[in-house]
Amino acid sequence: MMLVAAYHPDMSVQRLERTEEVLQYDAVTITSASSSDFYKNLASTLRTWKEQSSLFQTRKSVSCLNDKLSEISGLAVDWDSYGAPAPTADTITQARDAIQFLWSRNLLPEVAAPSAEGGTVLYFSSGPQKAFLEFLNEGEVVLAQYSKDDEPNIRTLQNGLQDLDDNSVAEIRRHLLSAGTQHS
Amino acid sequence: MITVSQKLGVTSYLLALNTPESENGQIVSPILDGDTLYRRYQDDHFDADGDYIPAFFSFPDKRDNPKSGQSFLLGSLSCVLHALHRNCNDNRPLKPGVWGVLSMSVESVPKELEDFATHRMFYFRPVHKPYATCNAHCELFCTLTPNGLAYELPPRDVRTRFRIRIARSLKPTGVKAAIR
Repeated sequence: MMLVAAYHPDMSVQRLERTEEVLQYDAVTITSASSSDFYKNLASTLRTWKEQSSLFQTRKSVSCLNDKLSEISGLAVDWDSYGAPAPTADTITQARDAIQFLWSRNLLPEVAAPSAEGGTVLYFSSGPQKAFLEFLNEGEVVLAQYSKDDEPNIRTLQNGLQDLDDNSVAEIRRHLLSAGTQHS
Repeated sequence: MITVSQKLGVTSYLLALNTPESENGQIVSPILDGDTLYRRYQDDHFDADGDYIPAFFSFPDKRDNPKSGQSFLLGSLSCVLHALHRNCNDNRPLKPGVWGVLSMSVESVPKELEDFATHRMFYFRPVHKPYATCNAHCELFCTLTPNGLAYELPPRDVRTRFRIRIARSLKPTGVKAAIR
C-alpha cells in the first residue's frame, strides 16, 4: 500500500495501512484513477481485497437484509396462498432495529422473511443448528432455537425487543456454534 | 387462466388433465399413518442448507374463524399436481412466481405435545375436510383429547414447537411450476 501512494501521488489515500476501512472506499477510487495495466492490476487486486473483506461482506449482508425487509413490507394478505396476514409496519421496524443491534454484536441472521403467522422473522442457520426471532403482528417477540432432532427451545421475550440483549445474543451464538462442536 | 412454464415440467395443460376430484360425501376417517400430505411452497422457503424455514408454516390457519388447522391435500385422494391446481386453492389462481409442492407422511405429524407451563397435553391429527372442488382437502386438527372433536387453540409455545416439528418433516417433491 505504501507503493501505491508513491507511484500515484494523485490518489487521495489518507491512510496507507491495509485496513478494511481504507479498502472500502479506495478500491473504487483507484479503479478510475489510471488506465495503465499496472494500475488496472492494482485496482483489480484492491477490489478483490475489498470484496473479500469481512466488513464489506457484513455491510453487504445488512444491506440485503434491509432490502428484503423493504420488499416484505409490500406484501399483501394471503401472500403464501394459505391466508397469511401481511406483516405490520411495526414488525418491519422491530426487525430492522434487531438487525442493527445484532450487527453491533457481530451476529447476523441468514434470512429476513415474512412470517406466515403474521409478522417478520430473522432466521439463523449454522448447519443443523437453527434459531429464529419472530416479531408477530400481535406484539409478541418469540426466540426459537432448535436443531435436527432435539426438542425446540421456545422463549417469548416478555419485554419485546428490549429483551434482545447481550445475554440473548450470547445464547443464540452458543446454540449456533454448538453445531461445530457436534460435528468436529 | 393459469399459465405455467414448461421448463419446470408442469404445464397448464397438465394441470387441466389432472383436475382434482370434487367432494363426494365420503369422509376418510381415520387418516392412516401410511398416507401422505401435500402442500404448496415457494423457492425462498428453504435455507441455504435445504431445510424448510418454519416461519413459512403457520398454525392454525389464519383465515378460519372459528380456528381450524392448516390445510394439506391427502395423498390417497390426490396427486402432487393438485396442490398447484386452482380447485385446491379456493378456486383462485396462484400468484405469479415459482411454486413447488412439499410432502410429508402422516406418520411424521406429532401426535401430541405438552404445554410445559401448564402440563396440559395437546393432540394433533389430520382430519378430512373436503371442499366442493377439492375432495382431498384436509386440515391438521388440535384437540385436548386424543380423538376430540372440538378444536383447541394451543398456546404460543406449543404452536411454535409444532411448526418446527412440521418444518423438519416437509420435503420438496420436485414438482414445480412457474406461474406468470
